[in-house]
Amino acid sequence: MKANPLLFEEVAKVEVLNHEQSDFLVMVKGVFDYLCNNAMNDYGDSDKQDLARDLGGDIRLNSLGHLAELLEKFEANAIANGINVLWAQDGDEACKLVEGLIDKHDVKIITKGKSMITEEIDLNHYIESKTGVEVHEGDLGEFIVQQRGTPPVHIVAPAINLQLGEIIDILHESIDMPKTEDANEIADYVRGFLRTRFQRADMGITGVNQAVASTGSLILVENEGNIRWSTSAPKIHVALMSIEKVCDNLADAMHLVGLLTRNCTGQSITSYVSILNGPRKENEYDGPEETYLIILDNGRSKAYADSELREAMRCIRCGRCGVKCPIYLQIGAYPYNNCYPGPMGVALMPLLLGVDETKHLYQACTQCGACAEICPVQVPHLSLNARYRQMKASGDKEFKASSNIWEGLFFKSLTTGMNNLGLYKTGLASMRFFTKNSSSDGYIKKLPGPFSSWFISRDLPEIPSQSFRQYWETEGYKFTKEGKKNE
Amino acid sequence: MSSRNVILDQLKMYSSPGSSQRKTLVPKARKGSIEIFTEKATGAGAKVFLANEVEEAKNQIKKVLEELDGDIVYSSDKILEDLQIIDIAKTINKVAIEGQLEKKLDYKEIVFKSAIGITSCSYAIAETGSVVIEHSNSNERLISLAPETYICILSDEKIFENRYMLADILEEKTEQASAYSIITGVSRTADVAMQVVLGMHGPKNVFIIIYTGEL
Repeated sequence: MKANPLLFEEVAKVEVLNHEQSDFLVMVKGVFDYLCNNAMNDYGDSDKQDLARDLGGDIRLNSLGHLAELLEKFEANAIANGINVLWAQDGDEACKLVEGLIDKHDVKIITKGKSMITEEIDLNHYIESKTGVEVHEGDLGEFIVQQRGTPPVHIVAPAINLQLGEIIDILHESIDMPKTEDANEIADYVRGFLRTRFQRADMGITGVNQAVASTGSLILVENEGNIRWSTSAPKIHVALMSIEKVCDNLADAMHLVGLLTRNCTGQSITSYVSILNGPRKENEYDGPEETYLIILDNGRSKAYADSELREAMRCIRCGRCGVKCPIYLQIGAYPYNNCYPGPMGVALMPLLLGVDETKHLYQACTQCGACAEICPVQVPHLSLNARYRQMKASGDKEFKASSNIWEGLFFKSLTTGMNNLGLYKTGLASMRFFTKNSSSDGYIKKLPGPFSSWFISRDLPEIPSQSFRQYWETEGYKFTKEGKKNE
Repeated sequence: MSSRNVILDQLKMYSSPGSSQRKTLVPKARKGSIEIFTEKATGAGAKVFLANEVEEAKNQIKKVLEELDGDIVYSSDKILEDLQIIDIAKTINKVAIEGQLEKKLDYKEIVFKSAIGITSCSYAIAETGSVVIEHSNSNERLISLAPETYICILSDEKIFENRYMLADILEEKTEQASAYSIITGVSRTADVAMQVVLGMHGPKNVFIIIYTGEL
């Protein structure tokens, strides 16, 4: 997974003109708002809903504050339950661990439950290119975009941007589905196609929504049943989770699941919530013979060292922020070019990929704050964005932010000038002279050199021929030290 | 140094002081209302029936089965044994197979070709209309997932008010089951142009028969 700032601009320019998509996304926003607000009403009036969010924020804050302790406790209990716990510092190590398990267990067919972390490390591509093993996404939306060869457009609804006709064509060409416009018939055909894969799969791969330290349990949430299939039928279950997905106890986990589903699909609970404590026990006929859990860092522990940046790891991946974001609703997911589109990726990706490489994410944000306001676990989106911008301006070796010398020099000069009246007056006079030939209709529309890119999409009101002070004095007034005027 | 230690050492350097243990205030487990359970489960796509005594429960199961085609697979627990599922099936000329009686190698084949799966359940949550299956050697995972129709037999004594109470009960158990499935209505998807389709990979029909009193 590689971000690409140039690609962002290029793709966004195309996508912003895709009015069919943006109209559809605005409609989707309306539907999600209605469903999610309704589901949050389960908690009671707005004060009680705030209390539920506060508790969600507290649970996440507690987990982050004691991450090492909770991970060790969870690991000990998971091992006691029979889970094989493995650790990976980055995506490459995690992929290699999965490859090793495929070899060890002679795996031929893999089915997957919908999982963002496997998208984060591009696991499907790795498995298919290194082992040649069949990997079938089990979630219908993920399955459709897998056949299309494009990334998921939304964390909950991966194919939500595709019109019915496109879906029919994709499935007709890839799995020979007879053409039909009936959504039930389409789902039924894919159900039949995947059913044979679920039944024959040797390995099921899933993510994890919450890991519970006190019981060593993995909690997985879904509506379709692909996760239950992938964790019940194959002989091997491999779960992957990032280090921050742990909480202290089951009641905390249940509260987070309640916030997740209410803000994700607008349901009090999804059709299936699985609490998995490990492989099948003696005399049990189904469930995996072996369960593996890979705990992935992928840059998070480095961010953890900074108490402000670690707050990005509060996120429980409900995706509610996405459908509130005015930028995401205009351009969709493709320009973001990562598996966490919208504000959740804006908060997280600079920590995983570096501040330079992801500058398009936080620079495209308008800081309107809609994401932070709706977040059920209080991710501080605004302060994180401001921090990334500050890191980009001043440079930060740890998070790969190279400072711009010219920009730094400009702001230093500006600070000096603003603190010295003489320099300020001289500077203003120079600016007036410098911009004289670039003004028309009362606006400066372009400037040469390092300033040129700023004016691509913006105009600046032209600098008046005299300052207010000069004008005031020509009118016969004078300023005294006390600021009073005399005739 | 192993990846585990590299990651944990880095985290430990910046952890907050004090214990991680959170005291979550969970009210003592209270019995949940059958009416709320029924309303929520029905809203999620399940068909719920209430039986006040054993014979009524058996009749209800028979009535549901009469409307359905195909073979039955059921879990080997005591409740289903007491309800004599196999005899009910015989009276309507249906084949009913107890999952555990089959050889381990044939079990999956039987489950995959059965049209109807029947299990009891350990708990239920009124606020969401969910049934909770505790998987074990007498209550397998696939019986409530693979067949086209799933029938769950629930005692009203097992219904609790909310999910926090369930969490508390499970937390207190000295030995955890290998897995628990919280099932709420029928599996669903809205991935085709936002049209809701019921019964994606799980059963397309879910029946819950609640019985009151002892069997």
